[in-house]
Amino acid sequence: MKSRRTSLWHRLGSINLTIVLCIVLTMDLIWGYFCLERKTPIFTPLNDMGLWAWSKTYGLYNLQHTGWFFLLLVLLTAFSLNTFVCTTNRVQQLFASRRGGGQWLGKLAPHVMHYALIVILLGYLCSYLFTDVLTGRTLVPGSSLSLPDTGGTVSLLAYEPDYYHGKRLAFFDDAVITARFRLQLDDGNSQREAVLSCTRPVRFQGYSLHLKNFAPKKKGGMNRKTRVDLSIRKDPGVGIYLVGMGLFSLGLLLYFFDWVMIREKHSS
Amino acid sequence: MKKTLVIGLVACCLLALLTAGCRQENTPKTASGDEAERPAFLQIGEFAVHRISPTRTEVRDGAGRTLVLVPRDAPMPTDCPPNQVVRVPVQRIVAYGFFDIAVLRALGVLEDSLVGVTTPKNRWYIPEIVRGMQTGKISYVGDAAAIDYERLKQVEPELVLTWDPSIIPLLDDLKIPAAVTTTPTAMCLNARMRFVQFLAPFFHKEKEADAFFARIDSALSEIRARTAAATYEPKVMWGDIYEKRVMVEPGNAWVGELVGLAQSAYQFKDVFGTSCIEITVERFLYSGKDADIFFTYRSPDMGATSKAALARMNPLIKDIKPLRHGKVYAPLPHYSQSADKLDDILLEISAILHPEAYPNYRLRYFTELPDADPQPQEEKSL
Amino acid sequence: MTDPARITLQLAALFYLAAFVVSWPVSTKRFVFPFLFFAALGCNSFTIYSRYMQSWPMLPMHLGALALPLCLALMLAFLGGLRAFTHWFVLRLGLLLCVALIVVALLFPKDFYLPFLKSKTYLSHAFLWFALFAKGACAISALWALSAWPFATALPENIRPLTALKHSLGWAALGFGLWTISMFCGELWCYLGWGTPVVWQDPALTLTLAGWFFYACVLHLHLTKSWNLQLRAAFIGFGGLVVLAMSCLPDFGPFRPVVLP
Repeated sequence: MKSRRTSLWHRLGSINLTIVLCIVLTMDLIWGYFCLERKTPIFTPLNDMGLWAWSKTYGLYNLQHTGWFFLLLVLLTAFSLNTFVCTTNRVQQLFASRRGGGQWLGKLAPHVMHYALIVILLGYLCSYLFTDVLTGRTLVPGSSLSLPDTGGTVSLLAYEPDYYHGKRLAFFDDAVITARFRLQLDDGNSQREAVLSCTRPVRFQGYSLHLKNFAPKKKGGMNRKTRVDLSIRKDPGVGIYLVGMGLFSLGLLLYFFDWVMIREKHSS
Repeated sequence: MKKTLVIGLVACCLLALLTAGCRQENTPKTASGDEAERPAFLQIGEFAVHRISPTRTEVRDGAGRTLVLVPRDAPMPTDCPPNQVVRVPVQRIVAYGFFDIAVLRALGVLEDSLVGVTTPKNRWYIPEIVRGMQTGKISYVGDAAAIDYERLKQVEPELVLTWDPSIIPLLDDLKIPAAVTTTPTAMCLNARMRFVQFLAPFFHKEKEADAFFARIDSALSEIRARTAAATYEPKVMWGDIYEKRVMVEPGNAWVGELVGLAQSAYQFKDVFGTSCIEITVERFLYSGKDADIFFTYRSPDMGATSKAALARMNPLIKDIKPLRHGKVYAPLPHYSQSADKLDDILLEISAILHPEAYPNYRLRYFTELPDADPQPQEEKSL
Repeated sequence: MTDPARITLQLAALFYLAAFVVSWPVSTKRFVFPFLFFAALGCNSFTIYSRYMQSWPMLPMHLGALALPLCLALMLAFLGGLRAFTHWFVLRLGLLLCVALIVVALLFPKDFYLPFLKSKTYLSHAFLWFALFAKGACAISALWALSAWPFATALPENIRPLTALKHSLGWAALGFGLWTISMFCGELWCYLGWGTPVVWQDPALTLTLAGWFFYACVLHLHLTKSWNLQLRAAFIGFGGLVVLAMSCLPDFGPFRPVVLP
């Protein structure tokens, strides 16, 4: 029984399996491109509904366009398992034969990247399973919205856009080049102000507020009322995949340090 | 042996996925009125209708907001904010867009349910609305950019159909649910035809919606049949230039898809995105070099009275082929309020593209622009 | 694309082609090679500069097909060291690839989308340029592998297949690293701009991920050496070019005949 388990463990960690999985993943993702092309409305709700609810509705009712995605989930699970087993085996061996500081660290680098990849994938899974999303929230000057289960309130104080003037971007003449929204964040005890813009979300009470759309986008033109559409998310996966990315970058750095400083020196 | 087994298993899974997908595609999503046959989930472009139970339907609007539809006598659901609960069938509705209102007409609920609009009486071509505004049953609640909130409160709507999300915070305060009926991506032909099925559950008019869809579907079949033998594929462009900004209908929009379906070539087929998408001037002019037919967004009352008038307004487009040797069509003012006659509109566009297939067809929604404006009467007499 | 940019792109293709022609050993004009090569780089850079000027501080849309030849040529010239010039075979293939990319970009331009406001961040630019340099490095890796494959017994310029594959591994590792950095920049941009881990509105993300997995596979193949040398070389060479071509696919538009200046 034990030998069978060991054999399964070793098969799971096989590097040949890694190669096969990588090839199948590549092919599946290329298939995914053709399924996704012009069918993006099927997938966009995934970002706010979460994986489970999306799979039961959009996913299952459009299998000819989403089949590649379900296969991707299966393949990524297998890939994560394979990576974990393979890396754990090798790290054990590496620790058993530990000697030589810099060189040893260099050898550890790929394993750091492998574990980091698993952390990133876990972060994504967490994000798609457990994120609390408030969709279609809009603020106009003076209006406010409350964040559920926090007692926090967000109000829009002012819209402070920067307009582009010039000939270089003719299509952008008199259009908003920087959209800034001054928000007031009230947690019940204290108040503070924060600025929200296109790629600058605001974090408050565990939620992150992202700018989804806004109006007006141009000086003059159609008389649109000032508004900002928000995507409000409480995403427990963000921290995990950011840590994973940091870890992967560290592994990458160690690997290139090892490559450039040690292997090149040896070969020269 | 084991390898063969694994490969066989993977192949079976893939085959099952694909066939399941194909089967899904072939399954008619519109049942012939039978509630039991109706699918639990229906996606209409970026809209969706999800029937959770006989007493609860969840719909996703164009802004990705979820609205919960419950019968009028059912207890208030506790798992969602009250301003996202709509009591159905809706009896009092305010609508912003011409398209939404035309769809209400297609469902046969316009006269009974519509209580407020954002366009003044003199700009309406739908007789029921003109009549309703005359009798005071339908109120003008102010321009979309400046809604009269007191008036809106007075009409006591149970639902507001809007394209402008900026109204939502105020409606939330008034505890009036709202559905956003525009989407970030242009509505494809299928979504345009099925939008009626998105609004139907609000009024328990699913059968009427299915009948409407079937009517449009048969019009499409007729278009396919009539144009199948066409020997020449005209090149078509749909859009306009406003000062230096170029707006066109992308290839994924219903007009782009229809042009392709009617044996014609849409010049912006490769463009993907929102309706009225902005592209570069160079591309517009390039596509205009060999286009045969140009549909402009401007109606005659917006200045599109002739090719010369268009060229005067936009000197940039004066050299595109439709303005020099081809044909230019402008929508008539009532076109935008006629979506309930979508079958006629599709047929008319097809007739414009292939006049040989529709002998003696008389245009009702578009007008072909003459080369130049007719000279004023006084000049003629001189 | 405005006319000057289109004209300089056509000139860049001509200069790359001319450089390719004079790079053959039979050519007596090999001394003009550096001039032609740098003229091509100059023209290609001007095209990119011109496109950037039409969108900065936002990201020019679908710049990849025009900028990849530049990145590839720059890497051939500078990163491989001018040492790369001693490996004329790879250099010639690289030049041919640049010409092919530009010709396809000219025939299938996708230059009509306007830049969007959410791309006004350094992360979006980093995402683009790291990806381009990654693809450049991966292309060179594929070319090294190709140089090993058909000539396993009689390689030009006395390079042994094993050496060629070693070079290929180096470039693949660099490409993989840059590809990863590009993806991380993209993911950060995605989080800051949309708040989500993936922006599903852009189907190109699947091809980016496909390329990443392919090069992860390439690195593991080098590690295990479980396939024979020729098979590995063919997989990395042809497979790499196919995956790179796929990753460029979203940057190409419909056919448009080339108008010569």
